[in-house]
Amino acid sequence: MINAITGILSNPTLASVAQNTKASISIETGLKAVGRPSFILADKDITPETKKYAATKEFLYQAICLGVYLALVMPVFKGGAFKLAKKTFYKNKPGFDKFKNASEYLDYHKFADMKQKPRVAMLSEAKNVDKFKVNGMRDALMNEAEPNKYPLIKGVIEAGSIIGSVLGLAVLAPQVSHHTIHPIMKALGFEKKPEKQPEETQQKVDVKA
Amino acid sequence: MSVGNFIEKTLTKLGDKNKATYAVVAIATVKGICRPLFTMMDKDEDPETKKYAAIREGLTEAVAIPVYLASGKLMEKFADKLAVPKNFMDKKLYKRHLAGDTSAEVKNAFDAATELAENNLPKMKGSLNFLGVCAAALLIIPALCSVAIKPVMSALKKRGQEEKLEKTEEAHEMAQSEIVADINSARKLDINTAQPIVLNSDPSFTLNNDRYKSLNSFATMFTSGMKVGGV
Repeated sequence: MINAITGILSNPTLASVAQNTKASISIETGLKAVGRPSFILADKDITPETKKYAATKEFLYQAICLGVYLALVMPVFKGGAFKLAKKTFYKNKPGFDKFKNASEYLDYHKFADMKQKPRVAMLSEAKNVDKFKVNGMRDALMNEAEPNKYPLIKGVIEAGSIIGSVLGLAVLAPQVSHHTIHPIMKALGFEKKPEKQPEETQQKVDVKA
Repeated sequence: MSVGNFIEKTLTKLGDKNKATYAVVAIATVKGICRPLFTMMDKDEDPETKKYAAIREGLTEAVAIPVYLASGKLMEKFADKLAVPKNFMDKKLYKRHLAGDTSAEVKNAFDAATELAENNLPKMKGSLNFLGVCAAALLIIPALCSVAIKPVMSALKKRGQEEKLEKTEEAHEMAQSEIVADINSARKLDINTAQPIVLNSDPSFTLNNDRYKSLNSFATMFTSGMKVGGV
């Protein structure tokens, strides 16, 4: 049992997800989108209608947050931070000239983080035989026990991701959800459309006055 | 050290050892500031509702930040207990190692397990930190908020209602004295010498009776913004 837990915790994929801001925040938000409505639905102290309303609203909020985060924020900030650093702040720093974009570096980092034996085996697979040949990084990955991981590049990408996450989830997503949740809730039949009758009556009275 | 060097070192450290906690704490901090601000800027909401919603949002994030930090840190501590040679080695060989077997087979297996444990410790710490953050977001924070914030909000609400009642009573008293002064001046009475009209002297006169209400609405009618049917 403990060996199995140890195996899961030291799994390179889980470790890589835990070190990756985009992946960890996406998973956390996804869990919130599923978990929180489930808890609301399991609550026995509130009425079924209220439960449905609150659970739907919570799900929509988290789903919108996740959507905004993945579709708008991350592509801009993750890639943008790398490009900005490469072109301006750290153009002379080692490693930045070797990678075209953040995705290529992250792919390299995934291999560099592995032990040499499984890394060589994986790079020798048919789908990976041409990987990293252009920038000359393949030799390092194949022959070195601990190839350079270029932590500065990783740090730039993670910092960009954190800034993007903060702006996306704390500033942009609440604004987007504020303007979209109510129309969606109305369309789903959870909220009644405002009745126009009293306003018309008020206007009529105003005109007469 | 220049600012540029400091930033570069920080980024290198972040690249070397990024944790899920950093991002969630940063998000919670900014949320704790921005969400109450956005709520208070909403012009369509009632000021009292806005105030309570903003306090609630601020409190939620104030609870979330230490919980994220603590759960990440606590979970990491389990890694020290799990990343030991025993968990990376065949059970029989480990028992032989414990029994004092110094054969090459046992020694090599133990050395390999020790190396594996050392190498996997940072990975396990990262994984546990991430799991701790997920558990905090999904279970601990909502549970703590419902336990801790509800009483605080109830107390604040009660205090707010008491303050509101006091203010209403003060406003009523002021309105009463203004009306008395108006009536006295209308009668051209010298307030210092003549018997002033004291509305409260009537024992049946309470803040909630109909006479007071009608006086109150009359006194405030001109400043209440009433346009239809007004004077």
